[in-house]
Amino acid sequence: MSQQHYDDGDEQMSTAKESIDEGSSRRFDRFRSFLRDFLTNRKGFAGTLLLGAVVFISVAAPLIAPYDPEAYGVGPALAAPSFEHLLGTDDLGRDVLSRFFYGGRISLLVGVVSGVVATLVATLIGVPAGYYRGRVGRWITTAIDMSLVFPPFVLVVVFAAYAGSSVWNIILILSLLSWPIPARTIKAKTLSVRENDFVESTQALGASDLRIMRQEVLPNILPVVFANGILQMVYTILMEAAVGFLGLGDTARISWGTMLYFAQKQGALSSGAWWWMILPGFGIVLAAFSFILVGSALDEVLNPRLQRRTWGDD
Amino acid sequence: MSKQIQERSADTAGALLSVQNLSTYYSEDETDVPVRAVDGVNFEIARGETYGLVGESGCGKSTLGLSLIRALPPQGDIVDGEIRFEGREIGQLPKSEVKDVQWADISMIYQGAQNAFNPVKTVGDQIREPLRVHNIVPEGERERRVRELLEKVNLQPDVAEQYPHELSGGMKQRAAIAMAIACEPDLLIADEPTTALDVIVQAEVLNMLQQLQDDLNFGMLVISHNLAAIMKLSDRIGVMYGGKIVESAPAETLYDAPEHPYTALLLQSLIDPRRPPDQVETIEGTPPDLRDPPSGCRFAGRCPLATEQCRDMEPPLEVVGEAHEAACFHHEEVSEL
Amino acid sequence: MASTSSKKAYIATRVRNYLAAFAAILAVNFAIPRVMPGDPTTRFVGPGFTAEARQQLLQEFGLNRPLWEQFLLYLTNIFTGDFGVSFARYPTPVMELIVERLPRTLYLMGASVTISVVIGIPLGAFAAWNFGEREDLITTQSSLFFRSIPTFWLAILLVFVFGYLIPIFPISGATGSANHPSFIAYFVDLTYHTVLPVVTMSAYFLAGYTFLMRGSLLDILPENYIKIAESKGLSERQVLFGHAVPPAFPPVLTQLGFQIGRLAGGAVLVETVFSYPGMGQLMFEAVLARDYPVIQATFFFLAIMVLGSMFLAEILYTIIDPRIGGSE
Repeated sequence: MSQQHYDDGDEQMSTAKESIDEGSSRRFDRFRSFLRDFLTNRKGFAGTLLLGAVVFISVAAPLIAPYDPEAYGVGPALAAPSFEHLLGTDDLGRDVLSRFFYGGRISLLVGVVSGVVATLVATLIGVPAGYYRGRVGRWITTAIDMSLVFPPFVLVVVFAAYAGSSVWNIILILSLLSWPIPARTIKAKTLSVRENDFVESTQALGASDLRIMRQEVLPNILPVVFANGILQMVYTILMEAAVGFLGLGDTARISWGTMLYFAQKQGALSSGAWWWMILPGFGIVLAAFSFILVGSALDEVLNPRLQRRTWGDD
Repeated sequence: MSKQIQERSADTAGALLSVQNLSTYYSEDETDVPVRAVDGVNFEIARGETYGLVGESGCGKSTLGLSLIRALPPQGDIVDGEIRFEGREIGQLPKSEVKDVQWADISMIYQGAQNAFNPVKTVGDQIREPLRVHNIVPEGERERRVRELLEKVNLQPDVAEQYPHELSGGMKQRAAIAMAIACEPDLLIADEPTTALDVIVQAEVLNMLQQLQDDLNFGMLVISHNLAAIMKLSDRIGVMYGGKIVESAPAETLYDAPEHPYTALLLQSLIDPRRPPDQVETIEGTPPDLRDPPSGCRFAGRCPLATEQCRDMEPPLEVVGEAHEAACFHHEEVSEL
Repeated sequence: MASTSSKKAYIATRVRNYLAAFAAILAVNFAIPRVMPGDPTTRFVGPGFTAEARQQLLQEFGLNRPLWEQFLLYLTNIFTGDFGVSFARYPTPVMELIVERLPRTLYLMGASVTISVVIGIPLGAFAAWNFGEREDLITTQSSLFFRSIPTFWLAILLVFVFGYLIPIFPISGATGSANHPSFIAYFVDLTYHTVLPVVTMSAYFLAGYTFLMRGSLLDILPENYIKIAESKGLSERQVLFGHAVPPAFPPVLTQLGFQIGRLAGGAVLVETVFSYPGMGQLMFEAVLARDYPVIQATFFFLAIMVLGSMFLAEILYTIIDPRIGGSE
């Protein structure tokens, strides 16, 4: 007996409140209340902390790494964790902890940039798909659905085989391939916003479609776009790691994925060098988990569909 | 106050439903300040009688209905009072026993018939379900019973095989009524039975309820924010404000001579031809915060007659006329409003 | 009656869309080796070939002819099942490799989807029903966590645990022996070998379906018909599984269809780590060996598998949801 969704009686009050404090301070107040909601959200708080940690080790890598990550033989090969090498060394005697600190940079770069670009593409395609009725909307929707049949990761692998794999290639491919699922979400949200009276009345006033999409639709779907973008980064981070792990990434740069590729290739587990295998994977989980926590907390705070509604009757 | 309750008890021995001092609060957890959605309500309904309950959004009228059928959301709790149904206390019955009363003895037409039916099951399945759960009709005859019920509400029997999305709004409302009377309940609660229907269908639905009541002789509690909509249907009307019943009288008496300023204002907004008929919430001001209700009369903040006394003390529900009760210190001045 | 015919019309428009998607796959597959940087003829002719063999192959693929002729030839080849010859395993026809591998990957994906759905749907329903309670928090947060574990890393961990620490499950291959006395014996052997790959693939998707189902059910629970079902005197279980889950499931099924593409990507990784001889592993080996005919064919068939599964999901959705076909 625990579904708690009953019509909310507070609605009246919140609209009343909004009309009272208009002016420039209103936006700031709204931002403050958003920040409070976000940080008191358990997931939001934990996600922010974790994300902060990931960003910190990536940015501060040169300061906190005990050794040069590229230097061979700073210790014996495949040395177990010790005081000199807190997380041991790899087969070439490089310090695993130092490489771990640097490895986050590529993950974050690829994940964030391609997540942002994919979300932009998804918005550019999803909004008109939901906005235009009739033939245009149907065509765009069909195009989105058709794009879903191309398995993104499989295509990434294929492209890597043909085009090679610099970091920017990977970013480009991930951006171009992972937009269809968020585009569907954005389309659905646009559809519901479109039904609102204010959109209809703006149309009646003769505003152009582009203007309505930009000024009326976009601000209303922005929360969904934002939360989706963050969640999209989870996927791109995992894809980047997978590309690296298959050895199709830029093996000259340190990333958690390529560290795992070398570890797997040199039989780290069978030779008992678990430290070489565990830490990079842990880094990926940490980064992905922090983004997924932040993303779903944003979703809960900005799109209160899932928020715990209470009673209120009538 | 206590004197009145005693008087009431004396003449309610034969009532189908008798509610005494019922209080239902909502709270998220133990530390939360509860919302006193229903706060010490008394009324009764006889077999064959229709009791109309009217009040604006958030006054607790739907919560009252949900309390009677014991289908409150998990945060809601009956914290005090009695619900006597055919002489038996059901307000504190354990859940397992409540299930036998629900729908078989007390059923409900929920607000918003558009969503009364599960979209992936046929209408017939859903009307049949309570017959099965309460084992009212032998299995082989349930099919026939469903068709009879549909005919009773002027629907084609083969609506039973249809899915809800294939029905119009008015048809859904009628099917929802058929579902509610499936087990021939003794008490039917109808929450906003006509809201969101167009005017012609509204009249049809009200007539139908009246006719079914004549046939089946159930007691009925009709809940609405729209006094006009239920005025004709109701034998007696209770006006609810801020979790309390502030006036209760036979329908005509209430209409002709209201003794509570809130009722009077409701009626005024009703007959003002410039206002659309389905908007009664035109009285200025906002309803009281039910987490922290004012210590005196809950309507005092919006009342044109309010005095110091009203703000300090809570007016008791008093007999002001023949079968007529009102909770106002200044009920004699109401006619001048 | 009316709904059946509009359902047919609905399916017809969907079939049209899927045919268009099929055409898109054909076109993309044709274009990839030709638009990528580098000499396109190297994609069709292996490096160690004699001039004579090279000429013959160029002829066969029509690479010295105009593009439209190449496309016609390409279509003819595909519809006659001729995907050329593998460079790396010269002269094995690519189709032979595909026929051998495809069922294994289908099995892997099918088993993973089944497990994710069978566990994920009730788990998500359970979480939504206990919204905000401890059960919900644990379910939600652990599914978010599982959603953050890279599939390949989970595979490695499982290989480590079951390969070295407690060796109770095989960590590579599809079967233990080449010959089986019966199909049942083969199936048992296959199932035993695929325990770890299937568990790995399921983890990510199980978490996804749990979360999706929870969200879908949370949309359903405030509906009137749920409150009515409760007041009818039904038990909690009857309300949840009889009234809440059926309308909440179709939207999840749609999402499931969309995510099948990701499942194919998972297959590449999982098959590689577990040396499972399926399409994914075949593709990855081909990529390393620059065995272009095999890359092209595996991509084509993986995309077709995704297309087919999405189509199946959609047909199923249309059948179980009576609302479909009324109006779109």
